[in-house]
Amino acid sequence: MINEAAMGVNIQILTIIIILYVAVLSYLAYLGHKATKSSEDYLVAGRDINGGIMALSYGVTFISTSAIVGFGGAAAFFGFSLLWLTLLTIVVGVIIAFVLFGVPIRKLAVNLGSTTFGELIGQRYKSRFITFFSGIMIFIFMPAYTSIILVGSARFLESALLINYDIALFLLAIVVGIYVITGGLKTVMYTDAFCALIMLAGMGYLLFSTYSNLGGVVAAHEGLAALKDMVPEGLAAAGHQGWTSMPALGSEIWWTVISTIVMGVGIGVLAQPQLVMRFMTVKKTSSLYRAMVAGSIFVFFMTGTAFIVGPLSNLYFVQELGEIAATVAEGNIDLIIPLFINNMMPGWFVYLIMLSLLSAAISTISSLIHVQATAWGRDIIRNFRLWKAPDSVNDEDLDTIPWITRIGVLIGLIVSIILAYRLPGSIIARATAFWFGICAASFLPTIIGTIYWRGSTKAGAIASIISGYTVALFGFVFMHIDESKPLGISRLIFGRDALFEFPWTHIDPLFYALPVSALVFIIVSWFTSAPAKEHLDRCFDNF
Amino acid sequence: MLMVGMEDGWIALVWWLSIITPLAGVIYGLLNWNSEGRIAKKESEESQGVSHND
Repeated sequence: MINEAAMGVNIQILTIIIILYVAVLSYLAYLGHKATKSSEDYLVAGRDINGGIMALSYGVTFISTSAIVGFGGAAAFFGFSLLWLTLLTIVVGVIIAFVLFGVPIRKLAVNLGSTTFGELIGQRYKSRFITFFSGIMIFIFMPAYTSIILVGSARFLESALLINYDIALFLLAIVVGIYVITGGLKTVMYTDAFCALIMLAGMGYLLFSTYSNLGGVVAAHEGLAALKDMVPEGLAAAGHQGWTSMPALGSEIWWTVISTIVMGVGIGVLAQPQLVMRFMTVKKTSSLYRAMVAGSIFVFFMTGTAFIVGPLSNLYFVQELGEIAATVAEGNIDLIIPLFINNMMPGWFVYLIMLSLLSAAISTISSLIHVQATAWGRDIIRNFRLWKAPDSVNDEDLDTIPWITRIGVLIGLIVSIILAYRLPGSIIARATAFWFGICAASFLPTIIGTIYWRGSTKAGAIASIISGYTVALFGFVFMHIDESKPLGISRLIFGRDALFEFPWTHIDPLFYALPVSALVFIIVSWFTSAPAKEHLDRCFDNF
Repeated sequence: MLMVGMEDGWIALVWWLSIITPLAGVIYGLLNWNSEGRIAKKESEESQGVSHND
C-alpha cells in the first residue's frame, strides 16, 4: 500500500508559501495590468517583451502540468522511448520554431499589424474566412485542451494535498478565471516568467535527486533494464520490450508512441496558436535568438526530467513496494508522477514541486484562456462585424478591450470545467496529442506557406486548412481507436469501433492528414492566383 | 559507456541527443545574440563604402 501520509506537508507552512506565491503573482499581475494601455498591449504585450521573458513564457505555455504529470506518467508506462519527444521538443519546439518560424512570423506580424494567430494568416491571404475559421476552431476545441491541463493539475493537488479532486479542479478554475479576466498578455507573460523560474528549480532538483537516489545514471538505467520481465503480459504482447528499449517496430505500442505521442506533439508544436502568438510579442528579431538560450535549457529540464523520471519511477516502486508504477497507481497513469514525488522526495521538496506544477498549470491555462478570449473577441466577433457591417467597427474598437472578450473567457472556462469532469482517466497525454495533431494538420502547411512561399494563394490556404481539419477529424472519429471507441460515433453509424483494421487503428491521423493538407495547399496554390504584388511586398518587407 | 546502461542502442542515442541538443541551442543562441546589431553595422559599413566610392 502506498504511503499517502509520507509527503509530510505541514498545512501552516503550505499556507504561508502559497500566500507568498500568490502575493508575488499578484504584484506581477498588477505590473502587467498597469503597463497595459492599448489593445496591442492586451493582445501582443505591446510587442516590446525581451527575449528571456518570451522564452520562459513560451516554455511554460508549451510545457504544462499535463506534459509533466500526463506525459511523465505515459513515460512510466511506455518507457524511455518517449525521450524522442524530448529531442523533438528541443529541436523542433525551440530551435526550428524560434529561428525558422519565429523570426519571419514576427516580421510578418509587424508588417501587417496582426495581433492574433488567425489575423496573421487571414491578413497575409486577405481572407476573413481564415481568420474566422481559426477563431472558431480555437474557441471550440481549445477548451478540450484546457480541460486536460485542468485535469492534470487537479490530479496533482488531489494527490499532494489529499484534497477532493472536484474541489481542486474548481479552485484552480476560479483562480485562473480571475487572473485572466483582469489582465492582458503582459500580465500573463510576466507571471509566466516567474512561474518558469520556480519550475526550473523544481524539475532540476527532481532530475538530479532521482538519479542520485537510484545510484547514479548508469546504475539506475541498468536496474530498470533488469525489470523487463515485469512488463505485464498484455503490454508485452502489444510490443512493450522493457522500459529501456524501443517498442517492437510496427507494434501497437510503437505506433502509439511514435505516431501519436512523439510525432503528434513534436510536430504539432509548430502550429499551436498560443505559441505562435509569443513570437509576435518580442521587441526585435535578435530577441528570438537570445530566447533560444533560455528556451533550450528550460524545455530540456521540463520534458527531459519528466521522460527520464517517469520510467525510473518503475525501479523505485519495485524496490520499495515490489510493483511497477502502473500497478501502484491502480492503472491510472496520470497518478504515477504525483505518487512518485510524494513517496520518494523529501517533505520540503513537495512544497517546491507543488508550486512548480501549480505554476505550470496556471501559466498554461492563463495563456490558453487568453488565446481563446482573443479568438472570440477579435477573430470571431470583430471579424464578423467587419464582414457584415464594416461601418460599425471604428478606430475606438481597435483600442479598447470589449467586454465581449471577457465573456469569451468565462464561456471557455466553463466549458473546460464541464469537460474536465466528463473526461475518463489516463486521458492527458492522448488528449494533448489530439489537439496538437489537429492544429498541425489544419494549419502547419499554411503557416509555412504564409512565411516562405510568395506564390501561395488564398484558395490554397483555405483548401489546405479545411482538408487537413476534415481528414484529421475523420481519422479521430472513425479510424484511430483511442478516440473513435470512446466517442462511439463510428459504432453508432457503422456498427464497429473503427472503420479499418490494425495498423490504421493505431496510426495517428496527423500521419495522413498532414500530407493531404500539404498536397492540397501546393496543388490549389499552383492553379490559382497569388495576392497582388503590392500586398506581397508589404508582407515580406524587411524579410 | 556510451550505452549508459540502456538495453537498446536507439534509447542510448536519444538519451545522449537529449543532453547535447539543448547545449547546441544555447551555443547557437549565444552566437546570434547580437545578430541585428551585426547586420546593422555591416549595412552601415557598406553604405559608407558606397558613398565613399561615389
